[in-house]
Amino acid sequence: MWKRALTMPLGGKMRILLIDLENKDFSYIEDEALRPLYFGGIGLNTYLLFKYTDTKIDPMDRENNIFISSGALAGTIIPSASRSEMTCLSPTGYLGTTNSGGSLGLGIRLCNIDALWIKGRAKHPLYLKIDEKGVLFRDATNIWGKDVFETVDTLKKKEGKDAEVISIGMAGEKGVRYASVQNGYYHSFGRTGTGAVMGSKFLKAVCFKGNGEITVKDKKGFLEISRAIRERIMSSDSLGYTRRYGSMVVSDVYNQMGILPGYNFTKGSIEKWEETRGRRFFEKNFKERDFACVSCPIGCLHWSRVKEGDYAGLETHGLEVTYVLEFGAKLGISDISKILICVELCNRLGMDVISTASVIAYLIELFEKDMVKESDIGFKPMFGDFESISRLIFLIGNKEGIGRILSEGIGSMKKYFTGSEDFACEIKGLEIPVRDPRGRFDTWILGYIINTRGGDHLKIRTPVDALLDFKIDYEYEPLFISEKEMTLLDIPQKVKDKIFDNPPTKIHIPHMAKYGEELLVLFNAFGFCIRPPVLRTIGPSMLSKAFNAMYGYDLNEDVLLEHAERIVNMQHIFNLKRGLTAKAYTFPERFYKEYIEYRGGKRPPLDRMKVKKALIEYFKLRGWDSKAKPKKETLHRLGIDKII
Amino acid sequence: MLCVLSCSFFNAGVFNPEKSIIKINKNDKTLKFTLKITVGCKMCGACVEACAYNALGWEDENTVN
Repeated sequence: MWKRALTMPLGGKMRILLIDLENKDFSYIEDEALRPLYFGGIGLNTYLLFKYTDTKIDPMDRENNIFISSGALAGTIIPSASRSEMTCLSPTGYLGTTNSGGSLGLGIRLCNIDALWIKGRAKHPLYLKIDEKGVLFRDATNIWGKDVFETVDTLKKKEGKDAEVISIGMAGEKGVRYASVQNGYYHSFGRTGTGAVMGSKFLKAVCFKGNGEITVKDKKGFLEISRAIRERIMSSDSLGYTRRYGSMVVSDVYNQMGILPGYNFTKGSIEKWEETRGRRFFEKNFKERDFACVSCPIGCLHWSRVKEGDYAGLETHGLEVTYVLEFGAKLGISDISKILICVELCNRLGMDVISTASVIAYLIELFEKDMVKESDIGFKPMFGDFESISRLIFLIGNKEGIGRILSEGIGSMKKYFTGSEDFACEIKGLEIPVRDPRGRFDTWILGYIINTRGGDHLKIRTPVDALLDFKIDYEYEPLFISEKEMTLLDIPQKVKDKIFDNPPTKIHIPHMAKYGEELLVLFNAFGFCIRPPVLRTIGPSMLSKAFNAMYGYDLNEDVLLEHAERIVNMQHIFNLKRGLTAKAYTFPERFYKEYIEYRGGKRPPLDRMKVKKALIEYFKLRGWDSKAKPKKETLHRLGIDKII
Repeated sequence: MLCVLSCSFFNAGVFNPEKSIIKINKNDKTLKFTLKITVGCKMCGACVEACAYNALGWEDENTVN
């Protein structure tokens, strides 16, 4: 069933494709006012979630909505702006939002839309084919039950090999609460279980195959700012190693600093790490070539080939450092080829790598502490043991045997295992990733507890992150940055005055957390990537110039940050309406009670009172009271009282 | 694909890979691709400027390679 759409260049107007799965119908919402307030990506999604999603429902109810928006600058030559955001009420119970790269941002915009709003539940498995003219609702019965790779193969064959396909695997179909939505074969909307929500709607996949046009208001200005952004990114000291190693650049440093999440956060360093899972070892033995997202001049992604051993001949995307930190450290698998297989299994089943590895690590510790028996599982799960770990991945993805309870995620599982709360490593229902909090208390680590989507490291970042050891202070982290990098920073002066001392030698953590959170809202709203060459050189002033040139507005950096602040508050209020309280802003007890071994000896646990002090300071800067409730004047200042 | 997007922007004033004179044939599963410069290239060099990976360059002053 085709409907002719009003085809017109987007311009500044926001154009949202509203899809009703139940009635197989669609329509377009056009809104002039949303663009300069919410931009696109996470900004637009937050508004739509906040305004149109009932906070009383269960995440798997048919009333849940899925919003998929391209970044406001995606699909253009603005360097790195390739990304899109997917948002819904998460199976964690709170905000679910997740970001992905590749070519999808371009794919969405070529359908002459900014966003999809998917509502209702189909009566039988469906997939959608979308182009600039409208939506086709196609039967997906024959691909329901197939893994992601088979699904993408089938749909590319049917709809064209250039179609951008997002899809779920068995994990999403069966409601694994941390199921991902895969973007193509290898990119993921990984965190917060959006795949489970898609599965609950009987929506197997969406194919984008538009031939629309992305227009720009001020072409000359756009070209100028595009060149300026490119020049800054390419001048960053971090460019060379980011291209060479990608995210793997930090693998060795994590071990040296003792901040690996080893064996469910019990070992910060692992013997022979560099020789088995280090960046040079990976480069020499596995890396074949680099590749990049659609608008990116950095090229941090890699293609790998296993040359020897049981899995010789395997070729796949990777290695990303998250894979090696999760399966290599958290689960102790030492062989990179086996880590790649675990990731491939997650990609095929459609499951978040971080949550999957975390849940298995938690189960192994439950087993070691005799809280789960071998007879409950059917075999012995062990750290470092690829056989049992890969078997568990398969059981989770198919929700079979012990996989049924593991598919609930740690937040739910810990209720069944009294006494396991201390080592149940999740925050607000989301499993904690990649870095042990006891190594250095900095913006990144405070970010774990303040993040509106739960225990995660991708929504709050500092543009001056440097992985060097320092004495933990809880209020400040030292500033290690070259003079050249300092000149490339794009932080408004009045923000700099609050974050740094004068002359700049240290960073005020709560202030940086607030700024870093707003900066990443802007990055996610505009479709930018957070790799170091971008994060360190691009900020609100460059973003505002690019946005103004594209859409013909006159917003400055202060306005952008104020809008980002509003968006953060709306996410937070959504969580409060879902029953979140200040009590959830805490690390699991392990991090407050236990020492962590690392190669330099033993590090003490976090100081609970000092963490709390930093947190309360962050609440204060946000204009919230000590219970994390936004004050009336904050709501009024940001105009949120008018939206509620 | 910065070359494709640049080509379409310089020559058609919009972003749309179909309007680019450079075509990319990519395989999303193996992440391999080939580039082809089709008829109509005006030698503006926008693609060469956009490419950050040395996949495109000037063979001589009149030929993009």
